[in-house]
Amino acid sequence: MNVDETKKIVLIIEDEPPMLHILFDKLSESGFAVLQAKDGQEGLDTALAKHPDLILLDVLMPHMDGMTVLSKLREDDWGKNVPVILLTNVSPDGNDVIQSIVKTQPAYYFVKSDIKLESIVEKIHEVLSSAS
Amino acid sequence: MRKKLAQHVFRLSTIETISLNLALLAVYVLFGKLGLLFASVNPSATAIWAPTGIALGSLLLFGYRVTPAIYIGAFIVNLTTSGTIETSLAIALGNTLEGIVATFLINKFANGIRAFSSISNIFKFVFFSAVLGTAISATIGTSTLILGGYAVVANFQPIWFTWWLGDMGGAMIVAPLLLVWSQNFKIHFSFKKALYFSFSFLCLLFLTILVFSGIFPYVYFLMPFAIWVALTFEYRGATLSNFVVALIAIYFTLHGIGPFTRFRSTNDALLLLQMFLGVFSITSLAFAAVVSINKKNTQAIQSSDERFKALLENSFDAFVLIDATSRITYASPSVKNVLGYTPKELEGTIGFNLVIPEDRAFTVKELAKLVLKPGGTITIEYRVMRKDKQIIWTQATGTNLLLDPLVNAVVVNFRDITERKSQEEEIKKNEKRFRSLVEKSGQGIALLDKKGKIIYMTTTITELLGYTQEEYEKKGNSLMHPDDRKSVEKKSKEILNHPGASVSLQYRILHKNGTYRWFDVLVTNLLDDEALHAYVVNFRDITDIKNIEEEVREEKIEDEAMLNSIGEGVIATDKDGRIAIANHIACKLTGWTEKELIGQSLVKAVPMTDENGEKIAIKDRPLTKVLMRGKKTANSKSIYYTRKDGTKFPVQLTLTPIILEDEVVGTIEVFRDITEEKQIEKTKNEFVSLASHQLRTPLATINWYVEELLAAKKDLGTKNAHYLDQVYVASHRMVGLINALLNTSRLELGTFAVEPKDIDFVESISQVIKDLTGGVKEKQITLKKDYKKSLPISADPKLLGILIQNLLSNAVKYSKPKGTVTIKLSHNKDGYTFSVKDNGCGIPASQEDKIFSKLFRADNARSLDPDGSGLGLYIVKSILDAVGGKVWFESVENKGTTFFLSLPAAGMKQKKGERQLH
Repeated sequence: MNVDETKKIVLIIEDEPPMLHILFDKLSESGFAVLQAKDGQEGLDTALAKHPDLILLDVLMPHMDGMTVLSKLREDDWGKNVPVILLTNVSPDGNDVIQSIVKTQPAYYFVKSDIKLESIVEKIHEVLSSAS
Repeated sequence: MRKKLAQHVFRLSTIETISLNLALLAVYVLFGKLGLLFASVNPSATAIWAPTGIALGSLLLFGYRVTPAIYIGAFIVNLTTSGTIETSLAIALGNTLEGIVATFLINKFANGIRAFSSISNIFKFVFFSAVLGTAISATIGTSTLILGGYAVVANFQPIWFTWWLGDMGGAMIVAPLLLVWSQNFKIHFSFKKALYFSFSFLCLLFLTILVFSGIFPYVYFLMPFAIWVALTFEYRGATLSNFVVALIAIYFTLHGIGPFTRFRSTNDALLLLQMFLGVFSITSLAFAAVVSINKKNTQAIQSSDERFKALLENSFDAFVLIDATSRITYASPSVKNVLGYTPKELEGTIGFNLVIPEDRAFTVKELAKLVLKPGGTITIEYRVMRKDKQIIWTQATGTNLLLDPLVNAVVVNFRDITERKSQEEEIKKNEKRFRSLVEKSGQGIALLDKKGKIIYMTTTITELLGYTQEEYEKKGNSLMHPDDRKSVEKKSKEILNHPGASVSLQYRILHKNGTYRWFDVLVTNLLDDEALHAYVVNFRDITDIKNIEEEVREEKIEDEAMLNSIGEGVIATDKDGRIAIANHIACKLTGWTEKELIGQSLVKAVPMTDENGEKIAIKDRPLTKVLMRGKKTANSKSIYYTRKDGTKFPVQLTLTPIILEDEVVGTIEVFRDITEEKQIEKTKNEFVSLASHQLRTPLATINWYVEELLAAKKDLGTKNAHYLDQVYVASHRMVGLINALLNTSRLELGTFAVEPKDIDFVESISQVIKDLTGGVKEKQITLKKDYKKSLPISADPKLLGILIQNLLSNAVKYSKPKGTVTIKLSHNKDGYTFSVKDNGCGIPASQEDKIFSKLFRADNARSLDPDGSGLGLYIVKSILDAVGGKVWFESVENKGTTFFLSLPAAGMKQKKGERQLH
């Protein structure tokens, strides 16, 4: 996979193939260099290896859930500052989730069904521009 | 006699007496001399001798103290007429004696100056004065004249007669005039009566002149007129007319004119005239007397009658007079009060008509008895029917006065005694009841001798057990229920050797009909009592009472069984909130025993906490509110009861006041442990939550793919693009539905959080408008924004977004195409008010109260948008309830609706919770 150096790299960690697919297509079309991972563990590994500019992270996934991935990332020197957008179908229910959100500081927490694909792109641009 | 005189004789001083005498003397001399002017048979004997009347009148009026004037007067008149001092003294003596004797006799026998009060006294008066007294004077006078040589014996008879008649005229005409007018001087005639008097008097005067002037010489024509005047004006009329007629008659007669003058000497004519005047006078006086006496009697009768009537009319009783046939001849006005009829309505009717038919026969009989008993009295009570058809009890006292000439009736005095009667009836009824109670209670007494043999027994035994006394005596103790024998024997021994002691027993005796009856028996040892020498046995049948007791016990057991079989806790309290009843479940739930609970204050014995574990103050306890307000209540919020061991359980309770005569006398609380229900509810909500999450993934996938397809519309063709649009809209609706469901489950779990931040209300509105999917463009709806550029508020951005979104999307959804939605936001010291106004279908009035309830959708909303969740407004309301805001609306069906929501000036209250809403 060729990665254009000028392009920002976005890692998508998503276990649902159709979701991963459409996100990959949309972000690629939108001019990002897109990396993908099909579960939490793979995602964490990829992130730590490739140091993407931003991570789109699902929460409910096999092998390692998104919140765990994020916690681990935040333990890493590079990972603690990488912008992460949580993209999930789970409402942030329960104190545990909220506390970990407070602790791990994701840039956004979006419920997939409530957000347009276009808006995700916009938010990524917004986050990246504020981060640089 | 002195006393009698003193009654009508004035008390006078000496000077007054002398003055009186002198005045009288002058009058006497004047009239004496006038009279003697007409003397013809003898200078001293005249046919007109007024002084006799003057003397008599003044003696009767003033008493014997005027004797000197009369004596001296007579002496002077005679001395100056003819004869010597001696003869004059003698004649004067006669004149004086005449008056004194007549006065004495009149005072003694004819009621003195009141002689004219009765006819018999008038005749006595005439006899004493005009016949007897005058005879004395005439005899002494004539004798003196003869003895003194002034007359011859042969002339004794004409002189005596002239003298006598002359005096008689004075006595009969002058004396009555003086007496009557001196006593009744005052005239108080009415004008009419005065006119009448003048007319009749003038008629008499005119006729007298006609008669005595000889024009119409028929004296008897005077009589009817004299009687007329006498009848009309009584004594005063009579005496005055007598006097005037006499004056006229004498005048004409002296002049030789008139009916008595033909063929006779003047003296003879005068004598005839005197006789006529005497008869005339006595007749008219007699008629006057009749009228006067009659009038007086009438007056007396009238006044006593009036008194009598007044007495009766004012008395409490009513009264009627009835004749022997019971016809009412008089009814007192007070009958109106008692009977309702006016006296006039009753008079002439048969009294028995008033009596009700049932009582008529006996009242008729009583009246018949009374009628046969003159002067007798009876008192009876019977019922009568009033005019208003009301039947009342009356007590009547009848007095037979049929033979009393003044009454001629049976006097029936009666009064309404209905009230008394009804009281009596009441007492009677009570007595009857009491008696029957005693009889039916089946009490009896028996006396037993030392050996237990029956000496005496009341007959009630037959009523109670069906046996005759003999049968019972024969069977004796064998009739006792075998199960009771031992205890009875044992107890009876207690009093065997204890005089005065008594024992109470309860046992069954076999009735003749084969059933056992329960008896309560009190046996008293009175063997030592001198009068009795016996055991006194009081017994009564208590089978019914026993049965009732049994029933009550059974009922109680049933009640308890019912209370305890209820699956819910039941606690009844009194008006002070103290526990009166606590069923088995209530004890089990609270951990306390029934004994521990009863009498305790419920609010103290069972503490209550809210969902956060904070104790609910006594004043906020449902029980306190029910006791104070008297309204049934059930808890809507989660509350927990604390068990004896300190653990808590969620409770659902219903509290009902017990109200007696508008006063809360207690409460009944039914409650149950809803731990399990809460668990089920939680599981359900969790399931909904999970399911909803899982549903989101495919929906999000569909959305995103469709978004991408739509972004490349031109490749699709119009038709396909339109189809895809519909897919996208439906998918979004599904997302909205799922979100609403999730929010609802969170709201119901109470676990959602409120985390206020300082945000811009206007910014939130703008965000919602931007995110509004569908509707605005398609329906070409104009959004009118009526608010400032920014308005800071402390609010949870998500919740505020949900509130705005729900109201705004509803407004768009239910607006007519090309409609206008007006969004208003204002702020003052009381807080924020946000409103959304549409001109859509409105909310039917009948459904206004349900609009905020879960899953409710107005009928017209359903037809406009069949896919709505019915959760939006419920969520709005729930959120606002939680954050301290309010929501309300104004709506006119088919015109539009305005929804308002308000938030406190301080913004949303913070609330800790596990979840956030979307």
